[in-house]
Amino acid sequence: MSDYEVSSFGGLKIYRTTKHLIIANLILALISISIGGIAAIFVASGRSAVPSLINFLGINNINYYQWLTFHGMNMLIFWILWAEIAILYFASSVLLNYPIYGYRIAWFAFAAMLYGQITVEYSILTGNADVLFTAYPPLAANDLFYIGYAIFVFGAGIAVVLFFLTIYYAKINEAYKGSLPLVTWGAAIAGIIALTVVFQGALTLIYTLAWRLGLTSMNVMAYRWFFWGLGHDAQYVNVVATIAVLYALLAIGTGLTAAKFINERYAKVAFALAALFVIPGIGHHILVDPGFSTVLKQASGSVGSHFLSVPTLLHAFALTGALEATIRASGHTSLFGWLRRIPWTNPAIAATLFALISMGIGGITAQPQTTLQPNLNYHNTLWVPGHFHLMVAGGTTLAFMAFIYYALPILTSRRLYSTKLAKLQIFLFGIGIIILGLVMTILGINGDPRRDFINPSDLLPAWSLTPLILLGAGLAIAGGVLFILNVAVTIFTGKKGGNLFDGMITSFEVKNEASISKRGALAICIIVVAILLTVYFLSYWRLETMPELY
Amino acid sequence: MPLIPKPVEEWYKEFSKQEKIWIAIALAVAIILAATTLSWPLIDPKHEVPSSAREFNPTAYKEIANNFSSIYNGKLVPPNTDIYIAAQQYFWSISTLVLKKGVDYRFHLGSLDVIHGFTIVGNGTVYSIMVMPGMEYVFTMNFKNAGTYYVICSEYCGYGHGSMRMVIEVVA
Repeated sequence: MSDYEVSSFGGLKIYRTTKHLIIANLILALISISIGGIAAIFVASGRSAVPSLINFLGINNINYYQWLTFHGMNMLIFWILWAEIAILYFASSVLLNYPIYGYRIAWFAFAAMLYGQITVEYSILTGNADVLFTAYPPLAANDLFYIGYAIFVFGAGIAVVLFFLTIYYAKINEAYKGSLPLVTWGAAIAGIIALTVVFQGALTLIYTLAWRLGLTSMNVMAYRWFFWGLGHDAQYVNVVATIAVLYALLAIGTGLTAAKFINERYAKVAFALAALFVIPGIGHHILVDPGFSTVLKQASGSVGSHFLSVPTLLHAFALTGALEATIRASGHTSLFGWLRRIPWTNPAIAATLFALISMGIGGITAQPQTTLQPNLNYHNTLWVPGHFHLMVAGGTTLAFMAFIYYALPILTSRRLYSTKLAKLQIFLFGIGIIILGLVMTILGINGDPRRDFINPSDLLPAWSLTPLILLGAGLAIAGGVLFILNVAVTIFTGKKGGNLFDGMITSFEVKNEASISKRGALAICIIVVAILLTVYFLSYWRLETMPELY
Repeated sequence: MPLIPKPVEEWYKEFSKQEKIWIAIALAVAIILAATTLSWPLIDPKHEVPSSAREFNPTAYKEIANNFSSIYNGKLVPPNTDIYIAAQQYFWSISTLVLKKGVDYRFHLGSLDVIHGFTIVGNGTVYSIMVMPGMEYVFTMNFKNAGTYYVICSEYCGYGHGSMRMVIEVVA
């Protein structure tokens, strides 16, 4: 059991087995985001509808959907899951000072996921799976695609189980005393949701495979329901994991000062609420499907999803409030004066704030599209990918990127190759995704369809905004390249020793801890909620201006 | 701190007044959103997700839709006439639908092969509903403004997906 090094950060025990597993998972995450990023160039260029660019890249109505499938699978499934499993191992083994339980099984899970991923990539690249991320039957990919997909999901499921076993054995072997750290608690909630996702995913894929093999007929509605148990509930895993990571970033980035001002009980209650409300969320994908009852649509899609916003709102205040209190403690008393003192050059703080802004906008646009009636105007338009790029790219991906900047030095005792590039990267990626999300949202208001390769402006003049997609995507891709290079160089040639987080931590001198207020953050959160309600009721007003439909 | 295990006494804090206010606001927001959508049928039942659907036989439906198209393609559909549209890779069974402004029309919509999306755009209108194989969607539409509306397929249905279009001309 002595097979570990003690990190200079907090005296955490880094077990060698854990370290190797996490780095292997991170390398696959990097490869996946690189592939997804290359696909993003083609998807963004194709959707920008700039003819010269489309001709130059040779994009047509066949390979566009191939690139789109490639982009969706690599970003939404492979990159996110590899990174999340690395985070789960980190939150259990590293934070609880205990080696990963059954690391040989963990390597088996790794191999299963890798095999699954290679199989899926091969199917897509050979043009046998141009079915998009959703793969709605009766459109079908080759059998290999579903087999690989199922094996990947199965491997991820094993990793999640090992995460829970590691926590359990750390507890009974008294590797740690007291309660789970907040970040591990958040990761555990993400893990619980992930298990339901794995179950529903396995069900969907095995059912689809059985249909492909002629063993059963395909019920398209059943597929859509269970597929979104995989496709959307996985996004709640992302949201919860992202928020857990943001608490870690805020604490580390402020040299642990902010940790004093995070109300961990409040955050833990909010995490628990997320697990409670998550299952109903599937329904907002079938709001305009024939055949499902209105009661189910309302209960599962609209009302269920509205209550899911409660835990996210609580976290938004807990995070911004902790940041405010940290800055305020060093001597700023006015309502918004502390905002001017935000250390934007700190990668952890900048990433936390960009993620919060991006997810804030995405959370606002989520409301009309998850509500039964207004969704009629946004369903299957670019509004929807606008929303989820803000959530998954601007929120989850950005938070994970920043987390890797800090977790890697803790894990390997190697300093990040370039702090400056990390700072620049977070701005490029954060701003890029927010621009991209907003452009897609505006195009979506005008009905520009998602999942479509057409020259958009030939139908409606309002669709000629599409070239702006290139601005947002270009900045984000540039940021992505910097991230990949910085992390890859750090893993292989990072310098050991010295100050692990040189220039990555901002110290705050706590002068008056007793009289800390979070009223500025509360005011900002109330303003955001006011905007949310305004957008919501405007969407009903807009529905009223349209032809009657019932 | 959130990264280190610690005893319950150290993290179990009372909620501050501001935190309690925010819980109340977050719950109130969820309740307002949910109450609005649940009570909407009482406010305006004529802008609502249609709930009428039935299973259909694709062969029989195809014939009905083709029959409708052969009579009314490019011609004004008289009031009290049911409209039958079938979607199929990569076209709609009718290419130009001419309707009269301010008249209630009953639409029937179904797919003969894969999933399609029925999206109407134009004149500030955006509506999207799903077109399912084996399940016929029945709904009523009433266009209050004359003009040209376009129907596009908004659910990926194969390589020809982007060219799947139809025109709805609404005349005064």
